[in-house]
Amino acid sequence: MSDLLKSLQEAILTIDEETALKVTQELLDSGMEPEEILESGMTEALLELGRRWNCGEAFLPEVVAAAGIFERCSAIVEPALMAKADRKVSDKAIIATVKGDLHDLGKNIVGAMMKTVGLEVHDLGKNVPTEKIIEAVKELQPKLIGLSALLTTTMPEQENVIKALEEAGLRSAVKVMVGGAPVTQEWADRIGADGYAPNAPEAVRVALELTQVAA
Amino acid sequence: MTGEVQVTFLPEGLISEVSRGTTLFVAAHWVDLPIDSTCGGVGTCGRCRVRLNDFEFPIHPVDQEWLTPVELSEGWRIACRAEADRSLECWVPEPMQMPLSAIAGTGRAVAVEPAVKKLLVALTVEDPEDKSSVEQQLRKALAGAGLGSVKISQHLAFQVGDLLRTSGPDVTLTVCDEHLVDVEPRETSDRCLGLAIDLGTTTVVGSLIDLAKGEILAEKSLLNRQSVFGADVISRIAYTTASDTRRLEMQIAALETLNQLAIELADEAGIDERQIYQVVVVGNPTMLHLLLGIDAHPIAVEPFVTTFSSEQDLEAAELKLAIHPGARVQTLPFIGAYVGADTVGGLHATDVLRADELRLFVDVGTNSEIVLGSSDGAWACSAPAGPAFEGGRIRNGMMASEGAIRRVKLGEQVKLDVVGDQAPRGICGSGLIQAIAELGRVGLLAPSGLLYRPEEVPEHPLVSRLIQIDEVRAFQLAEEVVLTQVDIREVQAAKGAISTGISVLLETAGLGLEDIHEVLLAGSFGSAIDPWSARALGLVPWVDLERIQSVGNAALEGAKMALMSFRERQIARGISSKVQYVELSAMPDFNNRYLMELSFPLEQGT
Repeated sequence: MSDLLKSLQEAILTIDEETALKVTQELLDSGMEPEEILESGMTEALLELGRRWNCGEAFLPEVVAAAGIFERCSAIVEPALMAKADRKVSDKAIIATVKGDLHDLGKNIVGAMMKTVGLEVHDLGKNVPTEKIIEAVKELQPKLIGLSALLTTTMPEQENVIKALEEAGLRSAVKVMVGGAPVTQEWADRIGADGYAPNAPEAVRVALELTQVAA
Repeated sequence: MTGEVQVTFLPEGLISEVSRGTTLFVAAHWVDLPIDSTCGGVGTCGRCRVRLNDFEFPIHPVDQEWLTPVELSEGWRIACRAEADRSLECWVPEPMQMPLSAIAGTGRAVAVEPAVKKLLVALTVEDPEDKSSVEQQLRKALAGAGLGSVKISQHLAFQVGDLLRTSGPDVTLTVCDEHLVDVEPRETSDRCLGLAIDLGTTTVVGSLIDLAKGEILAEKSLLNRQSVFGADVISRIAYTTASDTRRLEMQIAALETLNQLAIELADEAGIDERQIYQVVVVGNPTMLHLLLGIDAHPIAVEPFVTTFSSEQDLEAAELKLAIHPGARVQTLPFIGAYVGADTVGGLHATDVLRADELRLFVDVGTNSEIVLGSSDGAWACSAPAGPAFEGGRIRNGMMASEGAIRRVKLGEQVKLDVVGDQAPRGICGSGLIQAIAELGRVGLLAPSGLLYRPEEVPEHPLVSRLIQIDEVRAFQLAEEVVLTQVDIREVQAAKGAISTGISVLLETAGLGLEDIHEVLLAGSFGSAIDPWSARALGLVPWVDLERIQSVGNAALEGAKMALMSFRERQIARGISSKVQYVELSAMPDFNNRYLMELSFPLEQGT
């Protein structure tokens, strides 16, 4: 890996936004393919951030700040990506905090990070009724839906969304992933979700996996 | 605050600011002015007469019962019926007798004037000429005692006839507020008990009180039997939402806990639990919904509201409580969906709303209640701190039972204080908080919450205690007990919620840290934390240490006061309308505020 890519990762992980943005520009200017900057540079940093989160070394303020840097670095790379003739059309993803729930910190971090791996993210916000999610699915035809619930009393809404998708005949057209503090893999399996992640970086990995399978 | 009126009591000139519609009787309690009364302010004794400067003040039917037309025209009214719909002045006669007093709350003298009263009366059952029904006999006896309008409890209506036929003429009537709860043969006025209960999510504490003397006979705590359905309020609600059967199951678990508590307390005091005539229960809104079998689901989803919020008053038989079947079971009101009757009790016991100085009341727990207030106004919020303080989601976390590290002191060595004086098995909330504060003090932890690596502090006397477990940094407290970096993050997340709550309340009130006269740490856990550690972690704001007070189980104290004195209960009932509830989760910039509050202030050195 080039020294520049390494210093990009280091800058993101140490929350040095100025350096991160500068290095991203330098990488582009040096002629590196935009996809490679995203995949080798940022995705690696994302995985390292996930590891640090799991062992408690990175905490919420760092993860939120890092997510912001990810977003702004991707914005630098984006025009170059769009300008390419053979570029692949971005997959769409819808994310939302379910009805009855106002917690959106985690969902926002996941949204910011998903954007950096090339997904077109539509954030429907918090306390989102199931009908609104179904409408958005019909209109945007996303490949993926991410549903966040932070209360044991709002978790059943994740199941309700999946049921509503089935009733609307949309279930097979879209992958559903679930997350939030009380949510577990077991719960995800029980309600028939396609994916689950315990933290934001992992969610991005799962999102990529699901959209690629769907492709 | 809007809707407040001023009542000035003469001759002392005491001014009581109360919400519009408060009775003059209750307004007098707010300024500790004892207006004469035997019925407790339910409009049946006619003794709480006051004279208003406003002769046109509306006349209540009860006024006509007790006052002559001349008195009415002179402005006399019955204080417990007269609702202050405007600011006014009234003159209060001297009370007839000063009641007994007891010490309760934070060392305050409470006049012992229970709502439960026993009256020895002579009936005329054996008079062959008297053809009046048993009910009429009772009514006559009650009217003779100035209690003409009390309601006869349902359970009595069916059995009292038999009792009276066999009892002889002398009977003791037991009245609680406006209910006749018992009729017993002969004189029994020495047996009159009440039960104060703090129905906590985890722990339930009860205090058995001799209401005639204002004496505490026994106190005890038990684990809430609902715990098997989930550790926190949200999971309890989630369990009950599935079906009505489950809601009933949850209610029965609460009632069984209370029954066990009542029986054990009665055993300890050597009395019969069926002599308990009144129960005052405090608890968070979820606990009281579940106790009464009322749907709690709205509490747990946006917009987070309770089904009911006012004080409840039920007959024990309705709840199948194993005390006197006619006993009144009474609750205190709620301030918001997560700030309940326990906080109302705590505020009452500590007199936060009647003191001139601004105080910050913090009850640290899974849901931490925070109130900022004084006699000028008050604001409350609830901070979802999570289970960390009760040892939940902490690697070696446990309750404060045998083997739990409860105190930690770091120096050249690690000094531990363990519950039950045995080998440490885990760490409880107070130990956890002190351990983190101590790590910061001796320079092994950064304010960001990150533990240093051994190579960063090679000369430190405790460097060998800094270890790694599966890539996770940790500090070895004892052979079997470690504190990991992930544990510290859990505590930080909890601390962040509380700090955010405090800063939001200060901002809402337009006040600053320098305005806080005193910080009160309440609750069984809150008062177990040492003030220095609480401040080092930022659980309380940075004020002088002597301004941080532990006030113990203030919720229970408040319930005891409400039980010992109907006046205190009325004051407590008025608290909820004086406190403004602030919903943190609905704040648009909550996330950013929360992120700003996650670091520890810490204090280095000795």
